Amino acid sequence: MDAARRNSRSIPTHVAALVALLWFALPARGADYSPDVVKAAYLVRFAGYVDWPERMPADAPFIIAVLGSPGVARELRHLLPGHPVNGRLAEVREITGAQDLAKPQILYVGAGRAEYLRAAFPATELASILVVTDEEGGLNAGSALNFLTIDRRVRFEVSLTAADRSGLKISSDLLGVAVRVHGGGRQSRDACSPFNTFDPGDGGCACERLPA
Amino acid sequence: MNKFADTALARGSVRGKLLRVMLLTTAIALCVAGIALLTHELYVYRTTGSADLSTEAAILASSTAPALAFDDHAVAERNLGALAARRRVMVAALYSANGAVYAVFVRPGESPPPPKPPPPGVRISGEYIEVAQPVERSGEALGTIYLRARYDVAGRVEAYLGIFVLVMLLSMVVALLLSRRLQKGITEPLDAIAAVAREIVSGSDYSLRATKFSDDEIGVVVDAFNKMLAEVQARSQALREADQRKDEFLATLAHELRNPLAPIRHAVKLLESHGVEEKARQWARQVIARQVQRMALLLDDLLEVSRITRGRLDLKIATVDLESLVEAAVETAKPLIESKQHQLKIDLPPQPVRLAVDPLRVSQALSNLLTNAAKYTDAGGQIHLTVTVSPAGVTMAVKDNGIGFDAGALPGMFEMFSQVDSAIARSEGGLGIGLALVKGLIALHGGSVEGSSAGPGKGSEFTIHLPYSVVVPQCAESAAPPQRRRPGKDIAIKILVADDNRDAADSLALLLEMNGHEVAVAHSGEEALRIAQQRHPNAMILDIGMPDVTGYEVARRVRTESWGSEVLLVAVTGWGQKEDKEHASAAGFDRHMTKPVDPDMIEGLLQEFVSSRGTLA
Repeated sequence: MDAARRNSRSIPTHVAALVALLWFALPARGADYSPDVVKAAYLVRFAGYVDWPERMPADAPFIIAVLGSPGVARELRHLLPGHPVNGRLAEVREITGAQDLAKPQILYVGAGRAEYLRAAFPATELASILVVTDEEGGLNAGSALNFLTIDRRVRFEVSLTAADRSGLKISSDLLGVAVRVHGGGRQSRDACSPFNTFDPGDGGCACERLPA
Repeated sequence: MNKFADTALARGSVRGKLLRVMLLTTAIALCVAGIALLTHELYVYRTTGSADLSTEAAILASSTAPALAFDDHAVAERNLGALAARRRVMVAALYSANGAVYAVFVRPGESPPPPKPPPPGVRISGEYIEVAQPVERSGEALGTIYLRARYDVAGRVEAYLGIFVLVMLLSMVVALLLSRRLQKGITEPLDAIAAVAREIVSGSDYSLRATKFSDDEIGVVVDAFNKMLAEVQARSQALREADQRKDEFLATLAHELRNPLAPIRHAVKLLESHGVEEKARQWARQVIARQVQRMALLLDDLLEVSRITRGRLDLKIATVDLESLVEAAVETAKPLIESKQHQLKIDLPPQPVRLAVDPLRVSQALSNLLTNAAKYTDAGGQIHLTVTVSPAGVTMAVKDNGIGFDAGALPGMFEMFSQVDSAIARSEGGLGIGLALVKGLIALHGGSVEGSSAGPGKGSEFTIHLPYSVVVPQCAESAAPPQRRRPGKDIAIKILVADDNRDAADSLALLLEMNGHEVAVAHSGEEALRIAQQRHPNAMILDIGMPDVTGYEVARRVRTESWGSEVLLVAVTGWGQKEDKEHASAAGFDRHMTKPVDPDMIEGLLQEFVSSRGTLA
């Protein structure tokens, strides 16, 4: 939230960037665009709804690492140069393994690579990184967010348990538009917006919204 | 009529006017307050209405941002659907960043939102307020939220006017009731005065009085009104009394003037008839003389009083001996006193006193008191005149043991034409002007008169007070008793009497001849001049109103003659006004006398003239 507010304060200084964003902005009907374009835009927007535990140095860039998805990496490269994320310059870094990780803010793991993520990346390496997977059951690999395709639309689900583990705080606004919210704890209670159903069966609070 | 005469406030009763003023004031005050409140209310309605809607839009923009950001149509619809609870909001729409309608909320019967997002801001159009608010997140413009709410000014005004009319009616009723109670304090005293005034105008009953309710201006008016009523009442009472006295006086006057006529007529008849003894003729002449004297006195008094009341009487102040003054007064009253066989006792101060007064008037006043005493005392009574001189002034008290009077009659006694009832019944009669005359004459000298009585039948006492200033300081020369001069035959004078009225001239001439003077008579101005030229008289008694040459002319011509400067010229007229006297003295007259002339006074004048000249030419 802090990041979002800081970002909103920087609006006047980035009028040009905004114009560019409007150009690239995601239209209401995501189906009209390729999934990679939508996913790249969502990755950028996720940053506005997440609080990272560590303060970044003032001049450090915001890094989105992409593992195993050249399409999304390409779209990000298109999008980011003119578009700051949380008030910082953002850049894309394509990686192939844990050795290249080097502490990004977001790690996107392409479709079918979740198993590899779980096997190759130690949990300690992933602290303070928002990990986004992109496959059915991707949250099992320890990611906080996982893209789903429902009705040919890109949706996502949230694991508060994973987010907690990584020390991330996810805004309830984001939870409101998530397909499913897994995990409980203190934050999960906040996550239950009035619009979501309450599911006590999942140990804590599981808010689930089924597609219409 | 003043300038308010033709305004609405000039008509109707005070009560109605006060009511109108009150209601009008209340209505105007309420209207002004109502308009001010309505204006304020509409302003507040407009500002709070748009502010509320803007707030609503801002909240909605924030809550719908994630739905737009992550393209969640259902959440957006649900967010807008929550507006169903907000009764004011009629239409809501969410537009995506590319301007397409993303979600819509429309109440039944309302027109759909515009297809394209309107520019951000608040707009008031007709009976709607519209707000458009951009939806942003992290500096990214995600779309626009649009809200439309009712802006029902007409309904608002209508409701407000309804309340206003109700309040107006209520306050009017309250004002009416209240004013009725409060006005009582104003209108009741006014009504009371008005009622009294109306009653007085219709009935002329000045004894009515208005009741005083308060000490305010109305109370002052009531007091003034009552005071005026008292004054009017007193005056009308006085007028009535004066009128009554006048009527009584006229009756008395007629009676008094008629009384002497009968004996005179009888005496004349007796004189006309032949073969009447000389003794009877003598008696007849005496009757005529007495009655004429009485009538002349009566008329003199009357004229004198009217002169005093009109302020036309001038005093001829002279130095006179007190004793002779008293003697003259007693002499006048003596015939009546003697005829009633009263005993008169006179006490004078041991030293001779000289007074600077009008001797004629003072002795007239004193003789009046003496005559009154004689008149109102039964035959054989006692009359006591006491004259004293002290530093307090000169006092002349006349005391009798006559009929007296009631103390209540005293205040009116000195009024003109008043008479004590019991006195009217007495045969002596009288005009009732004697005491008024005394009072007037003495007041002219700066003195006063008072009367007292122990009661009816117990006698009375009247006292003249003259201030000490009238007393002339004594000097050695005048200490000797003054020479009593009697009109008599001691010195004979050549006199010319001129009057176109033969009887008047002849009778006066006869009287003067009887006193031993040498008298010539002229019946016209010409004749007077001719005789005077031949005989060079020492004194001329001239009537002014002679047809050919007036007395003034005769006097002027005589004064031009060498022998004429020393002549005593006496004018005799029917008019005793100041101007006549001035006229006479300008023409060269020494003295001016008013008809009828008293022969004794002429005699006195002649003697005075002779003694002042010492010798006769």
